[in-house]
Amino acid sequence: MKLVSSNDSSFTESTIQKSVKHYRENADVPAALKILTQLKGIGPATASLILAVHAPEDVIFFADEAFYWLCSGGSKVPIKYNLDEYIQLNERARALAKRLGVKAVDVERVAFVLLRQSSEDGGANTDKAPTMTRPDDTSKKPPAKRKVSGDEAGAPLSLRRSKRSRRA
Amino acid sequence: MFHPTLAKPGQKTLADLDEYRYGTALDAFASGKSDASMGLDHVKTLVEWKLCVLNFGYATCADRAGRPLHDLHTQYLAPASLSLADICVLVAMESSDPL
Repeated sequence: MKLVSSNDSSFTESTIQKSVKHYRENADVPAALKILTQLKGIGPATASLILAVHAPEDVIFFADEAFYWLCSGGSKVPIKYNLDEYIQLNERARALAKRLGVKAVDVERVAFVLLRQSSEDGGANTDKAPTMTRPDDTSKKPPAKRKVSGDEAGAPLSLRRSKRSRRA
Repeated sequence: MFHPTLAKPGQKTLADLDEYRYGTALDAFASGKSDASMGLDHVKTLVEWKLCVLNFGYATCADRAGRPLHDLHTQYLAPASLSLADICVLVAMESSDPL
């Protein structure tokens, strides 16, 4: 936070304006993020947060939970927080958002709910990895999909049961 | 385990920060909603939210807010525009490749 605070106010504002303008004109997320990372203390993750606030429909924040959910099948793998990882995350988030007819920010919030619910079940800040199906991964492992779905012992399964019982 | 404590005076709670991240900031800066420019103070608030959520986890921030984690999930995280349960059903049951 100290490093971020050390940025010049006018340079911060102009840099963000430049980045957002570039994104809105070119839909080029990596280039927009690179502009933002010119600010001190702003890496790809925080840059994605700034851009996500300006474009919540299409740009997801580089949250750990979203990466675990969409890029590592729910496993808490080490994250490098680099641009390549973010591009992968944002592509998957966009695909999921498009398929479900929701915004990228909705995907982000659902990721928090799903992954944090898993942590809550096993205790906060646990290293236990939630066993969840990556939403775009099931077609690659069709025989395992029901088993994997059944392993989702956290929020998704309980919520699904709740929804079904209400419908019934 | 949940150990309710209140935020220190002047310290933003998770509720404050979530409201900013998913409410105030989106209203102010999201595409076409206004011509407001994001400045350093806005960035610092977003970074504060990020640090709260990512470095310490929602559980810790929930402690700061003095509210159970489940309530925070329900109130601040579940998208209002659609049923969270519906999303979970879709995600859990979906077998097609979105790409």
